[in-house]
Amino acid sequence: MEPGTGALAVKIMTTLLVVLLALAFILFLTSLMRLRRVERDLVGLYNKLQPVHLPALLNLLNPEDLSFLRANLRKPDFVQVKRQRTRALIDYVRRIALNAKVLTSLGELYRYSPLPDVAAAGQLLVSRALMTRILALRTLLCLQIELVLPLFDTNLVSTIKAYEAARTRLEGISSTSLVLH
Amino acid sequence: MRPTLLQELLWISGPVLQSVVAIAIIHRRLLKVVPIFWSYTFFHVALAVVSYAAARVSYRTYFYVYWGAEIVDMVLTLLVIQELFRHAFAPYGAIRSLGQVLFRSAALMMIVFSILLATIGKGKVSPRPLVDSLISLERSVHVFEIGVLFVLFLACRILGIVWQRLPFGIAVGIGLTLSGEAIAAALLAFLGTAGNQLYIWLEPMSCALATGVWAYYAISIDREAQFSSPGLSSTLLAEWNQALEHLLSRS
Repeated sequence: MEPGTGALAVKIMTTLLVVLLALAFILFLTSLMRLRRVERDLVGLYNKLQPVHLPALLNLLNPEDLSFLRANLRKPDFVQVKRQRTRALIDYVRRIALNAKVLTSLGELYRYSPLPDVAAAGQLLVSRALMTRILALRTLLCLQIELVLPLFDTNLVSTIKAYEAARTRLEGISSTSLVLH
Repeated sequence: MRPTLLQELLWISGPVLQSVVAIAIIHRRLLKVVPIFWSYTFFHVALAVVSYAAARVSYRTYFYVYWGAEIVDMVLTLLVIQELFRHAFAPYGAIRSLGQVLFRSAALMMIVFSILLATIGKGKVSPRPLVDSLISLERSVHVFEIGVLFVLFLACRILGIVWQRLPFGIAVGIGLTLSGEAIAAALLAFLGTAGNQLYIWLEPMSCALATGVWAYYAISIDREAQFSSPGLSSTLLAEWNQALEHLLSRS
């Protein structure tokens, strides 16, 4: 190799890296600008809420069922069943996390309502939804660990409690704004 | 070499639009909301006047004014980004401190990355070592600031934090100008004097684009949200709540 060829290659790579990073960032910014428009559309946000079928989630979380399976199944079979259960839980918690994100956006819109009651309720919804989102993300991480180590147990109660509080708050705002209009 | 008409227009459009932004911020009583960004804007307007005067004195004067201002600009940009971090997390009492932690962590990470970039990007001995060092510094600082800003955008997306209108516009504008300047500095560092023409075009273009974005977000008023609820099924909510109550009573 000619002397200086290596240095030139490094220089080219550094330049390419910086240019590509900057271009990727510009693309990222334009996509954010587009997404922001969607996040300000109230009807669109309500449509983004995903159904969470809670009776089915309750069935999955029944501790008695899990104890029964643990006692009666061979360990490899139990591990397989537990993994299937964890996959289903991940799907539910993902929906809860997404809904919490939508609720934050909704709360943010209501926060700027000219009606003081609606604005205050919006602020509360934002706080609760954000906390739910954080809890759901933490639970998702724990569930991913549970998928790898099936004997690890994740507690979902705090996430569901927070989700319930946020949803109740949204219900409160919906009825308030309907009464006031 | 005399600048073309388009270059002059580009050069003038930046300070003119920034003056508009600075006035709009005062007019809309947003000075207390974004004081550092306003200082940044005012600095750029004042710099345009000083640079114009310096260019008439001598090239040497212009050179020192330009690079001295670039260093002040790098520091001010970082302060604006810190202000944006504060803004993004301010309405959420529970995670307000997370904003500071994130800013410091991102800054630390990006400092390491930028030093690495500056070290490996150093070329052979140059006939203009001061300019090359300054360009290399500019490129590294821009990459550092892009990284910190990216962490802010990413954290907001992950947590579902919704930006207020003006801070969002400021962040997008800062991102655009940093990206354009990083590309310009990287190409200039690689091509040397041959990249001068590219640099002369890219720098003011990215600045004009960014100031356009700032002017748009500073002047236009947010579309009013429709505060009527579009039919969220109350029976569905009641059903969910009932099921949750059942679950919580069991646990």
